[in-house]
Amino acid sequence: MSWRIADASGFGIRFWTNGGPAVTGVVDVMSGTGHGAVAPRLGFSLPESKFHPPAARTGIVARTALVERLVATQAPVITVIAPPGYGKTTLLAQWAERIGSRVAWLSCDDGDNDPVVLLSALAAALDRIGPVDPAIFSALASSGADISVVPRFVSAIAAVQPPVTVVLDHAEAIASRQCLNAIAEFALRLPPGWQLALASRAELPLPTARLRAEGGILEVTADDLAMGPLDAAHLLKGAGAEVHEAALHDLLQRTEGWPTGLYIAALAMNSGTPHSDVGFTFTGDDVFMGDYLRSELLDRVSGAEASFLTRTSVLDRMCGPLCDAILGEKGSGRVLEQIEARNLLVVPLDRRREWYRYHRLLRELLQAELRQREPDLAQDLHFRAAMWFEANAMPEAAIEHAQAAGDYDRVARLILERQQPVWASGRVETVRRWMEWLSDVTAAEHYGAIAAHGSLFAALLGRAGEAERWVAAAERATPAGILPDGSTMQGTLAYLRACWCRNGVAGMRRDAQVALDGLSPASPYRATMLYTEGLSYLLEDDPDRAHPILARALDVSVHVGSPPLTGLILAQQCSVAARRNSWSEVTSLAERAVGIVQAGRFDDYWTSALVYAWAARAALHQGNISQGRLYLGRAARLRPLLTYALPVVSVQALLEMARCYITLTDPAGAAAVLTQTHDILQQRPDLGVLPQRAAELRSRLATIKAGAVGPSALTAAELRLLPLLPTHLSFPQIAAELFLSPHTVKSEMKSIYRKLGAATRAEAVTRSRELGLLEG
Amino acid sequence: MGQTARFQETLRRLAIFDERLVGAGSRPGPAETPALDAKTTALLQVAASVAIGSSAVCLQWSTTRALAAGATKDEIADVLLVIAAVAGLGRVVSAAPDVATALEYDIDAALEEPDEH
Repeated sequence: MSWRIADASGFGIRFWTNGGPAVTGVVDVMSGTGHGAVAPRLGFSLPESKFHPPAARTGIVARTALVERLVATQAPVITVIAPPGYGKTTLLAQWAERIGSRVAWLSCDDGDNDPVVLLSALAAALDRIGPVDPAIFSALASSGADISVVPRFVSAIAAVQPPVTVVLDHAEAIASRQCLNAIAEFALRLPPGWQLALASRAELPLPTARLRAEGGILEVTADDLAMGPLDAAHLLKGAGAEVHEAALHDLLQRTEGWPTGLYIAALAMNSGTPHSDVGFTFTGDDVFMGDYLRSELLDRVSGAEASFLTRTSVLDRMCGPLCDAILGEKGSGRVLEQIEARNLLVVPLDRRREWYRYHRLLRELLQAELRQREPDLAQDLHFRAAMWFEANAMPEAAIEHAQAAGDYDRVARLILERQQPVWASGRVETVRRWMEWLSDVTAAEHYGAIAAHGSLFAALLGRAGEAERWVAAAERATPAGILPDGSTMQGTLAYLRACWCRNGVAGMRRDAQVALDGLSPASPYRATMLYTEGLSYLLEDDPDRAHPILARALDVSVHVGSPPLTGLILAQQCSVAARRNSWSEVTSLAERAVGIVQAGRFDDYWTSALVYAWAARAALHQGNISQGRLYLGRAARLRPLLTYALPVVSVQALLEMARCYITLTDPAGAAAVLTQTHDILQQRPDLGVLPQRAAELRSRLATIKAGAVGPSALTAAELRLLPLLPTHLSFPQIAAELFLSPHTVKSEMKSIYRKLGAATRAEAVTRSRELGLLEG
Repeated sequence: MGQTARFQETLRRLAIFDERLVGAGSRPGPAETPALDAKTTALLQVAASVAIGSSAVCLQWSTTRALAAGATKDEIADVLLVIAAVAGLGRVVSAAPDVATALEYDIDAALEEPDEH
């Protein structure tokens, strides 16, 4: 869902500068220039090489006829689907060069399986053509985006004037359903005059039928890309190999025009050996390619070189020192230069010839070869690569290699180190993937601190069940040891318990105090714990004791730069002021809190529900009904995030919303939020005065005459579906997206339509937007 | 896409149980009568919907109305229990999943779940 997430450190401590995410470590290792050319608005770094097609090499065959076809087409969507080695990238690169400067190029890789990364990278690529609305970067970073953010994304990038061509190369790297859905939605919403080209090894799940109906789609296949005699002759000649017509014919027959096959053959001939007469026939499968590679390449280079090639294939990018480190040798930098000079196996990633990568297909074949030749070695190689990347301050690359090496301790340590900035940069899925991986391969309780953070992340996303699983693991962990930031494990677990509030208000306060003792002085969580201590008095209906502590927490929160938490504390102070019946103070506190939320675009944060609920109450108290309704709609949108995983604030927000609905004489709305409150209180009954407040409101409700049942009666489950209504997803696809049964989604959709008074999906969307329940 | 035919609009609205279509008077909501409060009225309407074997949409809607009138989820579940003897277990069993959906309880998913919860 597109609910935004405060990061787990005290519900929203980011490292902010001037209202935008601070640039954390955008040092572009890949460009070798020391500073990334990537828009610095990204909270994470992306390799510069991602944004360019590989440089045209000498001797490459011009695919003129195909390029002309692409140039001529009016179809907004172009797909190039063919097995590896067919020259998909080459074709698109030549086309891109032909159409000139208005191309946004993106080479996809595994890291793009986080919608925030994919869409941010796309926005950064577009920003190179023309300015996109910069707000989209922070909107994405704080969204934990999925398909529902695409409409907003499209309106932000639509500022780039057509013609614009977007190329997503290596789209097969994208496997996450969320990302694939986002691409499909983007394809359907392309602004007029834009083109989107996708190259992939396998079919992409695009809504092809609808695209055909809406302006067309051009599909380029392997048959189109297979080379004829003319192209093949060019290719061989360009690679420096001369062949007779008969040999060419034979080669074409065996490779079926597969360009890479032709190319490897040319290399073989180049290396001085006459062309082999191995009786291959092209089958296109991996075994064939592997055999082909072995006989045509590896058997023809020196043993040392072959082992260099296969062993370094564990790296997705490499430089001399890194290769030295994993091979335990010296002089790899020179070897890389030689390999590059002699043929086209490696691609330089920077002008200084420091970083290289293998051609993708070649790397896969080499990896398969490594598994066959030295099956036990890969793990060691990954282990050393992880060590090297960690020592060279590239922790995310280190995590990948440590995972491949099965080096769980290193993975855990690195995750703890990186989770904060990565989460704050919006890459929610990336952090979740790391954590899920660790809990899949080991028992989650081995890494208690990870489990503790995992539970908070899940709780902030409104996924109570998932949070509970992590909490159970954290509780099984040994409460001893020191974490990388200097906090004790005991303090960290106490922090978690204080948020979770399972042992009542007194327990919550005790936990907050234990956490304050154990957390490192630099820990950003300290502000949250101080605030929690103040909150505990509020829950005991002791505003006088709460007040000074909350004031101190507010100072700390402002000082450490945690706007979402600051907003939350201000909202709690509203409650203190309301107890004193000082409504002018409530109003000014609420205005300040809303200002913080809006400046930081925290509208979809869990913390903002209470802020908007109080803002609504303040507005209604002043008799400003329309403003009150607007704020109330904002708060209602966040209801799916309000669960028993973070019970105190969730219940507080719901109760304030209930008061607003009662003020508006909307008993159905009040009943809906009180029902949700009831569900939370059943799980967490010991929340101080809150259960009593809920009961009071319920009895007040009984005295109000029943009214019509409208949008305010939407349940949290129904509200969770709303953001997916404007997308192209069908009901069963929505069910799959949210892990619900299709029957449930269908029933809930009918109920949503009914409550919104809509009879079509479009009407439901319009109505939700009018009510502030949907963005846009 | 052309203009939606009137019959399509009508049927679609009926499919989502938009009772305003058939006139406010013909299907009274849980309005208060002098003797019964809104909640009791709404709960009785849930009971009647279950007993006559109403369609899924009607069951959900009467459940929604009961919630809106201030009934708790427990109270609504109890309605099903207490009418079973009169309405027949079959009616109650077949109504349970749809009532559950309106109560945000996904029975299908719950039954699929490997762990308890």
